[in-house]
Amino acid sequence: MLQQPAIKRLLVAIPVIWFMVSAIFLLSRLLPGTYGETQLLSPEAGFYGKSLQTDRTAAYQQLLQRTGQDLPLFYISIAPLSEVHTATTFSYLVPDLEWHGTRNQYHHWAAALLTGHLGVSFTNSQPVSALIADAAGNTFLILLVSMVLTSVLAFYAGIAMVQDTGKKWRKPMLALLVLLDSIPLFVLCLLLLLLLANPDAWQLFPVFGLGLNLHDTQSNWVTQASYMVLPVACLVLANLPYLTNQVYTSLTGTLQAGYIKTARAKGLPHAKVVTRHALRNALLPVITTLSDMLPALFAGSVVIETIFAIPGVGRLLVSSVLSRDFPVIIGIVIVVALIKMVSHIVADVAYSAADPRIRARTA
Amino acid sequence: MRAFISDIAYLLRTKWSFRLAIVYLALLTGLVLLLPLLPLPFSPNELNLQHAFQKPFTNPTYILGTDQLGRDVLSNLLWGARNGLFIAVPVMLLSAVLGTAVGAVAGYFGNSKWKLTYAQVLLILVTIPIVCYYLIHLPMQVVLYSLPGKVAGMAIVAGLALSAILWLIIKPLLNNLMRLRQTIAIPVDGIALRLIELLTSIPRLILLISVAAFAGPSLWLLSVILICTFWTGTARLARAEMLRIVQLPYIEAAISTGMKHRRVILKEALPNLLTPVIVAFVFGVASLLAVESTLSFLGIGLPATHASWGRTISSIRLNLSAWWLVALPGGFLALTVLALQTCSYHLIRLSQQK
Repeated sequence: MLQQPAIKRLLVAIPVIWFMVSAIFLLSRLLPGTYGETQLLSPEAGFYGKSLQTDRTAAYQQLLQRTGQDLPLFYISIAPLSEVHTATTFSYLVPDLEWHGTRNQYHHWAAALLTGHLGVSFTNSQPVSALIADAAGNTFLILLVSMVLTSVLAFYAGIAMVQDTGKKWRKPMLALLVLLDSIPLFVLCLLLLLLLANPDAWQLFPVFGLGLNLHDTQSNWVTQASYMVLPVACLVLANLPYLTNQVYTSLTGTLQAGYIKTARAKGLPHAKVVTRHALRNALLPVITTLSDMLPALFAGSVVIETIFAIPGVGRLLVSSVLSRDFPVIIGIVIVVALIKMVSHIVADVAYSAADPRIRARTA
Repeated sequence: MRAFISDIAYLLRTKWSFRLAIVYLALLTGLVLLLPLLPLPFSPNELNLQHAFQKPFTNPTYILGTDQLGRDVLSNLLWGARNGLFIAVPVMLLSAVLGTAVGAVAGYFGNSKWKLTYAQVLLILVTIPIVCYYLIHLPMQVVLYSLPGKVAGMAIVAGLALSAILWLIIKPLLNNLMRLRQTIAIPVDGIALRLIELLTSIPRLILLISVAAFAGPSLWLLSVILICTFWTGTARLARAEMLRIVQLPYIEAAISTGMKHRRVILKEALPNLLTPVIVAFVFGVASLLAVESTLSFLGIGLPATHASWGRTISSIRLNLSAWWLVALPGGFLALTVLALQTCSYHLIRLSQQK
């Protein structure tokens, strides 16, 4: 009974993701500028610039063949307009459709995807799934730690603000959160980097590379952890304002309810009213917020991994974007979209598990 | 509209933070608009390799210092503000218009109120490929292969002529058939929701980065991608507001006087949508400024020839002791975002209190 809405959502979400990923795949191949074109074909001085034009064209054709980019893009294509077409007759006004059968890029890509293959990277010929799997561990660790820390801090701050004793903190706290919220993540990262990991100011933490390249004698979990302090702190600080605000609004809303008045009237101290009675109900809307936070955190990890040189998925994405390595980009997009979908479904299930009213409605 | 202006006046009178934010934004707008007329000593792309990494407040010619190529930070800050706002405001304006239109129509008609005859549905389904081929595909091919302009003109004439034949001659003929005169309801709401779900199925920054990768840095492409991904927020908000407004008795009264749906939406419902849409607009401009400078910082936003806050900040990678390259543009960016968020916060609070 519990699983039914989850399965229904899954059935709706999969075509949506399939459509979106297909659109991105087609767009990546439709827009001008394929991988290797600028390096191999440009006549200017470069690594390949010294060889003959014919050699370079041949090398480019070979690259296209190796990566399968010489095939037509889709099942059907419209023949491009050419001078011959347009000089005399009006035949270009009738679309010249061409059927390619299954020998096309989209079919090969989709068939490989359905059997679990994300393709091969253009730049280093490694399978995309292996590249992503290598990078995912670091990203996952940072995301997990910062998500847990953010939630704990947000709940702590939210509860403290609604308590009677926390009243004098409320205004400066909210102002601080608004201020923090207006600093974009990459500026925050760089500011912390310049303040806390810079020989010119204080060099408190080691940064760059997550300490993965240290020798075995130096490498233990304490040094590793010290490399993680700044990246995690940046992610936490960037996501804290939104979550704290959600917890705070949800708690103040719940505190207006009738049963809270009853709890107070029977003489419970305010702190207990909040933790025992209000918190449980206030948790509900926060569950959805938490699942929304995952994509935001992932987007943040792109920035963080670039700045702190962490070999994770975000850095892989940026580097493959800069080298136009389409299979890797599309692979990462697929993985992120799947994670987002799963987190939404988990949130739905958690929501109905936490709230008996919803369970009763869907059953 | 009048109610909205009086709201603003009320906030200006009572809330000092709102007044401060408005004054700041007004000054910034004036500065950005008048920037080409100002006598700045350097243009933002003027190099001076002898004076790279000058500290601020020490050299009277470069008041705010220089970056790794000796470009003046002050003029880069101001031109960065201009470029950022010149992208953020028009992009958000277009996305707000698009989002409001989609959201209002979806919320107003729901899944059952918009009815079309089978003939109309059939004709629309035929017209869409015609428009795509003759009015979009052929002119684009002409531009791509630089063919004579006559071809594009012929294609557009042919496309318009075919559509005219369909709608002026074939449609009356189809209407004579009994079966095609029956109507079906178009699930506008469902279609709009699916579309929004489609565009939000991938985190926005990831989508922006990956699509920006395919075509390289270009101002137009960046704007188009930003519009395509930013209209969904406004659309959701407008739809939710519209669902509430449609229930109100005055809409029923308007319909019962025989008003057309289009007039009800434009004259009666839209004015009530104004405040949430403006809040979404202000909020969107703030997040667009942040997104644009993040992308420029990563090297996939604006082309490197355009001054941008993100471009100035990204030169910190070469010299970690050049704190002014982060603190000054970062502070400017954060201040602008803060001012915009303060405005939208007060507007939300006021509309919640009512």
